[in-house]
Amino acid sequence: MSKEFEKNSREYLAELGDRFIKILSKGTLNGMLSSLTELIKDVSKSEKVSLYVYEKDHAQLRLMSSDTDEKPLKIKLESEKIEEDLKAYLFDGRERAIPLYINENELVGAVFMQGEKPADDFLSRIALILKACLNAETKRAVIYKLSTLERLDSMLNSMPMDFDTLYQKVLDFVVKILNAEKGTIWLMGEDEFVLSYVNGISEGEILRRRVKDDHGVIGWIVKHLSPFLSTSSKDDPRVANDVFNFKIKSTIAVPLKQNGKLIGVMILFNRRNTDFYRPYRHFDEFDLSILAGVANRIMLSRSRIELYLKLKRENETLKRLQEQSKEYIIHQQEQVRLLNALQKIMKAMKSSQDIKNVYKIMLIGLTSGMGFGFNRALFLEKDEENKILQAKEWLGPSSAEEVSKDWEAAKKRESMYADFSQYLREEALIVQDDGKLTRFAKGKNFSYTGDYIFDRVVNRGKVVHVTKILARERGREFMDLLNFLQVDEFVCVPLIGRREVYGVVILDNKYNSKPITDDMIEMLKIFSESVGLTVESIKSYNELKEKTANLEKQKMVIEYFKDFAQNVLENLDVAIVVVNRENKILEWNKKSEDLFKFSKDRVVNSTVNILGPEFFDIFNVAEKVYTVKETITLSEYNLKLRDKEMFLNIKFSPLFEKETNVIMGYIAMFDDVTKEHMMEEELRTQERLAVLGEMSARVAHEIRNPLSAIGGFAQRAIRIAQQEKMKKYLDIILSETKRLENLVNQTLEFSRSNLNSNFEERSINDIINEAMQLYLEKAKEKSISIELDFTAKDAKAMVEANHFKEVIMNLIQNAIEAVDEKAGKIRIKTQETDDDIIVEVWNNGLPIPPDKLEKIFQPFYTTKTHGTGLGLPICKKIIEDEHKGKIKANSDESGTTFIVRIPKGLKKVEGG
Amino acid sequence: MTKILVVEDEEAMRMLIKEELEDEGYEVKTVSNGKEAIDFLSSNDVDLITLDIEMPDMNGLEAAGKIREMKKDVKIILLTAYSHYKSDLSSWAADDYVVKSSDLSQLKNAIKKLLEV
Repeated sequence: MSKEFEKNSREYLAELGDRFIKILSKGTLNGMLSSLTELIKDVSKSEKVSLYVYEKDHAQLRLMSSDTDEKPLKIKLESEKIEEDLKAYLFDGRERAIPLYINENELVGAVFMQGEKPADDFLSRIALILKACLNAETKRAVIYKLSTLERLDSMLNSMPMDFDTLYQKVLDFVVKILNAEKGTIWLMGEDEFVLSYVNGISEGEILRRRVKDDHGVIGWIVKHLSPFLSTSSKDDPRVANDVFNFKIKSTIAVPLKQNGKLIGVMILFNRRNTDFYRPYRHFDEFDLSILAGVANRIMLSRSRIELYLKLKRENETLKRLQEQSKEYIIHQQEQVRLLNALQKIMKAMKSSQDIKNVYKIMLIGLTSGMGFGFNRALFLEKDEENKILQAKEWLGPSSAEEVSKDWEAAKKRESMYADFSQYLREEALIVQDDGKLTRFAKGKNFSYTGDYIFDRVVNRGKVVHVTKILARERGREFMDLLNFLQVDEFVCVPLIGRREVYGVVILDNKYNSKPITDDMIEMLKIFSESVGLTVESIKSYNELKEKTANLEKQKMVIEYFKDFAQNVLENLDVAIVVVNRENKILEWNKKSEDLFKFSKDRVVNSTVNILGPEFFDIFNVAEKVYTVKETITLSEYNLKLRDKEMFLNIKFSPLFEKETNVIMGYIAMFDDVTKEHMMEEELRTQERLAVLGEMSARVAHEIRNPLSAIGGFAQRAIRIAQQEKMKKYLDIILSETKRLENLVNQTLEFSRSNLNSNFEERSINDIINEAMQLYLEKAKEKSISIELDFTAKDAKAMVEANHFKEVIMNLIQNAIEAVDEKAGKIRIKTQETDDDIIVEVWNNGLPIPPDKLEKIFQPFYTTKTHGTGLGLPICKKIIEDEHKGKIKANSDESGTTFIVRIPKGLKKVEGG
Repeated sequence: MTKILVVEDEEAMRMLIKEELEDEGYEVKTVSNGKEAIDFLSSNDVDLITLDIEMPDMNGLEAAGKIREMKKDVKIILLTAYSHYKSDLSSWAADDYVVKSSDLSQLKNAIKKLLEV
């Protein structure tokens, strides 16, 4: 190696960076490689340099750039050493062939040049640059393809919406960008795949157009549903050779799937040489991936087209519907027009009081072009007595000759009026009473009972449409009518009043023979009822007039009801007070007067304050109705009015102004529940006593045993006591014990639940005598006089004698005790009524104060210094519970009286 | 000598009745409840039994029924604090009924009356 060359190499090495960038910036591979060749020439001072690239797949070198034409395009590498293969192609002795390696083992190409061999590191850099150029080329190809896919997208977007165009265009496109020689799209038929689109294939090259789904490449795709690549299809068993008669070198194929379902296969054959350099000619994975991308795009577009077509179809359906509805709208418009016309006809009819005029208006409305537009309209009136229909008025041209003249005139008059009803009113005045048709019809009668047509019309109120067919088939049945009308289609319309049909209108289109539609029939049904009622109401106008006289009378009835309502209010058992927003009393019924003792005259029109401070609370609550806007209730409100205590259930209901819904005041309702309240109170007391009784019974029972023992031993002790003092003390113990035992006995007696009743009919006077005997001595002792006053001489009653006697004894005992301190008097009196016996035990003792009097029948309440406090409660129990009677006490300065009242015959025997 | 069994749960009362009846010349045994009474009667005979109705363990009425099953001929007097059982007496196994009191003369009379028959 010459020094100079080495020096050159080194200098160039230093520049290599710059040059490399320049090379790569050439863009195309050819440009890059010719720059690289220039570089080698510069360094080696060689005149001719040839640059080869290594193609590994084919084990050959391919000429990329050369200064001579003598070098072969390809050099097959067959021997072990490359140098040996290259040697055969050396031009002369000056020329040398140098393989280019990267890292001393990866062959990238070779260079032929003259002169000295450049430095090794220079060569290895050349190799690197060569590799970089090839890589750059590959990248460029990728970028190109990707950019073409973008083009595909925009093409698809602007494509017409049909499947044929889509498949063909896409196939053409993909064949072009993937540099395939030929392309096909097979679509799935019923049980085969059909060759549907081709590119680059002539008719003559096609051997078959249908293949089974297990055939060749298609078969493979059906099985695997994934992309297919065959790099050398000649020997590939997967690629069939019986479909086309061209040579298949390489193949790529992809499934066309829609919603995961296979619908076809796209196959490309044989890759062309291209602008882009590749070390091999077959398709590769990259091509396949592009094809798969294209397949996806086809299917997406297909879906889009399907959606488009669907929308298009729907759109067309909608359009069709729209057209249909247009017809319907026209039809509806006609119906609406007729309804409007009907309304106008009725309006015109109502404005006239003359019934004859009213019929005319109706007939004009039915024949006018602005109305129902019939050619002729005949009105028949019902004669109830003779069961016939009488022809009254017939409107329309009398002959064909008159038609155009009549109608034109009518149309002209119509057009002068903006308002149809006004036209009808005025036209009715013009139309002659004796038109030709009317004159012809007058006097004509039809019997309607049993008539084929009129029976239905008159008796059943039906609109009857006589069609041409009906007239032909059943015409015999109504020959008279057909002959009279001289038409084969008409319609009979009843005029229906509130109760019955009172006339019939017959309509036809004799002159223009316009068919009568079902819609018209429907409209005539409405006409039949509404016009019928209108006519009837006009007819009864006079009657109404008379009736107005009666209204005066009705006013009186209203007055009567007003009185009646007032009466109800007055007689209600509830106090009702109406108060307005200014707190003024507007209403104060009788019960209010009774309950509160204020007269109506005094309080009405005064504010509620007049009722006094006792009512302040009540009306304060009442005013809350203005805020809560609902009824407010007070239960068992305790009102103390002039020392009288009462319990009231009170309700305040707001009084709404009907239209504005503003509260104008309120109604206060007072229900006097004092009695109920007292009864409840009594019941509660009874319950309390029952519990108390039971408890005392238990306590008493527990006390009895030890008490008996104490008393018993005291008695024993007395017997053996030596000292007088001891004996005296024991006597006290014994007597106190006995007192306690007595208390216990009475307690138990009171609380026992079922009395041992033994009822018998006894003389009450006898029982009283028996009882009194027991106290005579005691009374005498205290100089108390006992007087008997048996007004009821022989009063007998059903009594439990022992218990009743106990009561009398108790009362006498009490009386004696009451007059204890002075020489007193006791009087026992009996009286009888039809049902009851009354026993009064009176004494002239000190009066019992009212508050104590209330309580004396309660257990354990006693006014005496001794006593159990159970005596009177037991009496009450015997008299009221057992004998269903009543016991009470009165007391004042003149004395105290206990009054016992029992029924003679016991109403209901309870207990054992 | 006439034998009487007193069935009474309260000790003081038991003692009182025993002493009072012994003073009358009866041989008196006492137990404190119905169960003990039945135990006692299974190996002993008595002429008359006084039985407190309200007792723990076995109700006096129940005890009376059991005793009547064991001893057909023994006289039974029920003692109670209440007086309203009287009318139902016939349905009981007892022969008489006495309301308890510190004054035992009522009981003594009832015993005498029953033993005379």
